[in-house]
Amino acid sequence: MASSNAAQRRSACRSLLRQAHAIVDKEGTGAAALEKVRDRLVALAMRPELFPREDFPLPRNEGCIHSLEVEPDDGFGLYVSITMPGKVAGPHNHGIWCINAGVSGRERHTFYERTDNGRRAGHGTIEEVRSVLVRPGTGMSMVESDIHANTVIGREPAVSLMLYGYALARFPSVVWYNPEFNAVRATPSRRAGV
Amino acid sequence: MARIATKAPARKGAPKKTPVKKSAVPKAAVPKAAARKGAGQKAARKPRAKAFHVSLGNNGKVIECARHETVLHAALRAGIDYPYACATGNCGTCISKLDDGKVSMLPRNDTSLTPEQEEAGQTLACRARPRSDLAITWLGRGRK
Repeated sequence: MASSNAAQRRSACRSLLRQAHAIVDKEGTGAAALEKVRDRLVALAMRPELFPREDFPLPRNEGCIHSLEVEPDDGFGLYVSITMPGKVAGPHNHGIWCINAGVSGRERHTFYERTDNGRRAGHGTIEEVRSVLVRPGTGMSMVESDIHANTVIGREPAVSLMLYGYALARFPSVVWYNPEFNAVRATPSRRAGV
Repeated sequence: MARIATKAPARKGAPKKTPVKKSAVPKAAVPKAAARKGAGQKAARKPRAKAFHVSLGNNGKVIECARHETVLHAALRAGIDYPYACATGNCGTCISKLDDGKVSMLPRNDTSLTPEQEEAGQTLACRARPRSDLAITWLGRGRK
């Protein structure tokens, strides 16, 4: 059963999406604009009473995503992500801009730059350039071509809000990098027929 | 690539701790009395195998995979073009049918392998570490 905060949460999330649209419509989806959206998302994430455990159960395994607000067509998607200690995601881009803000726990996002020319199919090299610790009061934003990896830090689950330029169900191809084998692989786009 | 930085807290369904390999214990650390034939059950037990054999149903090849290594990693190391993308339990591209044998799973997202898929004997090669010799068949085809 949803907590008594559900209506408040819906209102706060829709307000966030309106603010995000206002910024993106006026300033685009460059790094500076996304940082402004990030600050709004961080403010929303700083209201943990809106995201109680009873409404957002822990994963069966070590990671899950709960939908908050998913706009129709090519609108934005806002989600709660819960990842358990030990869970990692290797280096990847999303093909669309992405913003995270910490509700509880800690997650390290490491950013990379591709260092090869991308001409050889299945082959790619990357180099670490910076990292950001996402915890309550902080967030991170990335443009569509940015590459990041994430790792839960500490013994608490990392709970964060995730805002994407598209809903997950309409995601473009996600490109994953495997530095140990200097390999690149892509998941199929979910935008066929869009 | 990001590495697992912390151990998951003990939870229902969480992967069990891997016991220390017998082969990791230096010979000099084993008392001579215990090493003598018939000195005790422990001394008589065979040392645990360092690696298991993994038979790939798609191409008939057999590769070696260490206990601490994932099936995907062993396959890539052996030059097999195993389908995968994330290699970290997020995307499900390496979904495979575990035809025979036992595996221990590393952390993964709920959506990468559904309970129905698990029930049907499917697994993720990027998360599965062998606990016996295995027979496995990949079900998808990745994109480069």
